[in-house]
Amino acid sequence: MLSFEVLGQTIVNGIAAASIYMMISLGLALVFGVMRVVNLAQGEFMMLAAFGSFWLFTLYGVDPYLSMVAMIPASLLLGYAVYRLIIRRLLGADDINQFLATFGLALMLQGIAQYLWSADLRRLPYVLPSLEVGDVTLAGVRVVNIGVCLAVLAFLAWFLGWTGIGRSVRATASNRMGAMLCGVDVRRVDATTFLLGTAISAVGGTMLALVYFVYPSVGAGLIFKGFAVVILGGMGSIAGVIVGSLVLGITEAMVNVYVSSQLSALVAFAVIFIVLVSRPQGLFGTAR
Amino acid sequence: MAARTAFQNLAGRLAIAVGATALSLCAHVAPAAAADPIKVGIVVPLSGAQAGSGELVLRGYRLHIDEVNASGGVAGRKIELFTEDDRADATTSTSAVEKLISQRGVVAILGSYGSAPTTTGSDVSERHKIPYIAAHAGELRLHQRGLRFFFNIHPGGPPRDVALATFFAEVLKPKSVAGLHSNQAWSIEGMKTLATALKEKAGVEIRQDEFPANTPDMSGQLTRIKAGKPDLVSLYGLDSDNATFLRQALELGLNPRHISVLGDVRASKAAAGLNFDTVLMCDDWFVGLPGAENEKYERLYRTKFPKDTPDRFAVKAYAAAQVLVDALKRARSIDGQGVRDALSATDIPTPVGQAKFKEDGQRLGTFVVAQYQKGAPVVVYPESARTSDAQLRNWRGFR
Repeated sequence: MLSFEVLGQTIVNGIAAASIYMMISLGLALVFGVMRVVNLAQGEFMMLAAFGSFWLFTLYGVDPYLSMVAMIPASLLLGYAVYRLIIRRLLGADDINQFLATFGLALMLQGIAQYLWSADLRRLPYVLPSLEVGDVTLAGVRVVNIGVCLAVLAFLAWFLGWTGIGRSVRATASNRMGAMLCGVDVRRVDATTFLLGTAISAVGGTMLALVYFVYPSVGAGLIFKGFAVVILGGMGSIAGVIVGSLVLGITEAMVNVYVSSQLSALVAFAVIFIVLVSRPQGLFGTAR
Repeated sequence: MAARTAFQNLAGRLAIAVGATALSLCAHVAPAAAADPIKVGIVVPLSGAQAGSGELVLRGYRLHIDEVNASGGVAGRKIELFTEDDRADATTSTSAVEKLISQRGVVAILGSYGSAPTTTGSDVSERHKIPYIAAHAGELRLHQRGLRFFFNIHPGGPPRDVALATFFAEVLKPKSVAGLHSNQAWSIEGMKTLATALKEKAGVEIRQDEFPANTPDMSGQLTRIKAGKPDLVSLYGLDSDNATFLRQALELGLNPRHISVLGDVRASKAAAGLNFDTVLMCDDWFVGLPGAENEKYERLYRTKFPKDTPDRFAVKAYAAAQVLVDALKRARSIDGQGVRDALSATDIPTPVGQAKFKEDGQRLGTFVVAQYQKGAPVVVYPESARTSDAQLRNWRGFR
């Protein structure tokens, strides 16, 4: 049971799960870091993109990795509408109002999806050849998903580090008032950040459709994992998201294989409790 | 004064005349009450994760009731259906059944999908002395509660598990077996019975592993199983679990000589794109199962739903509705007790086999093992129902 084969396979499984967790957590962390809004509908953006890729493949045979690109402009349109109609009005509002509004949006998007496509569990019938590395089998789509995740991280690093608007995003996240006083258009930064979060969710949605079921409430289950990651990494920290996702994914996989599959489902909640009690600012966050 | 008395007399006579007319009208209405519809309640999940299965169960119930109503109903009375969504949730099912009985006044309930909502729903039904007929509930303990108004089309787990163990021992003769079951009670019970029966019949132990029902990820369990290199993997899960298992077995390079699942592996939409050939399945019904009742049913189903293949959800619900209608026709009185007494004497053919209930309300039934061969299921066991020999070669994965 404790063979290298099982250990290696378990770590690979954990990294593959972490790549999905990273996609939902990046959106959550960016929006919270800049706008101080906890967007409970982030999972539903992923769900809609997952359905989009599913139907494009099922009805028209569009390769999911192509539809992943097509989902980005679609999600930007949706994201912009949500930002203008809901999120912008919540900036600076009470936390409870933000929670209720984004929770309501999540339920509404789930309800629309259920009305349109029913609650059936679907799966994208798409497979890539697996790779054998020693005794470890790497599932093709999971390997590509990890690659896509790395590409998104590289893009994010470039965007935040090397573009003017990216630097404004970082400045606003660091000190909103200071950024305003220095002439940063924080409204533009807010909109950009929110749209960036929805675009990452669109990419994550297709990744999700390739390895999980596609159904209206799939995002609701994932949002808790996303919270666990951003709480572990530190609210609003991108580095924290990367480390938090890997820790959560690999720990879940380890508990699943070496302890119990039942307990592995509780890892995310245990992480939330432990971090909030012992280090509320998370691994990479700073105490406010 | 006299004029006033005459007016009072006239008014009195008019009142008597109006009263008599009203009474006579009532007398005319009374016979019409016999032609009032018979109210029947349906509790199924129409939202939540089991909504897809629930919609098919509802389709099966309606298919037969519509058929009966179109041919004149039961003794000239149509059957009126009242449907409640219980989300396959035990608590919601309680209130749904309570509402159907207390507010709608139904004389019987056609039951939910899954053992948990069936357990709580039938408890409520029993308290009101209203029969509850389940179509999709396999847990053993459902029939250990001593209920008198509970009937179940599902023949239960143990006959299925023993049939499967016998098939494994006689035909597959595996040297090492991995058993993967969900965390639901019916699945745990079933795997335990299968393991005991296989140990008795072939002296082979089953290495068991568990997963959360409806999980999208079994990679941990499959990693463990793969390390054990079994000849046979037997999965006890829901349709969606079958799809997840096959998909991830393929991804992780787990390819034992034999794979066995419960139910029809094609039933879940999540299984789209998979090639099922050589996968073994155990159930009491498969599409194309020989028999006049099933042939009739499948013809009806394909006429009504030309785009769909008959599925095991609708067919069992159809059989439950058949059993209820038959009881309504034979009942001494159309009330809870009358229908219950008639149900206990049921002995009719249905597409899933003869419907006859044991003392505990469970249908006596037999199970078969089928295998997908060239894209369609064929019965490979037992000998009496076999339409083809089992193909003993490894599963090949995707189309």
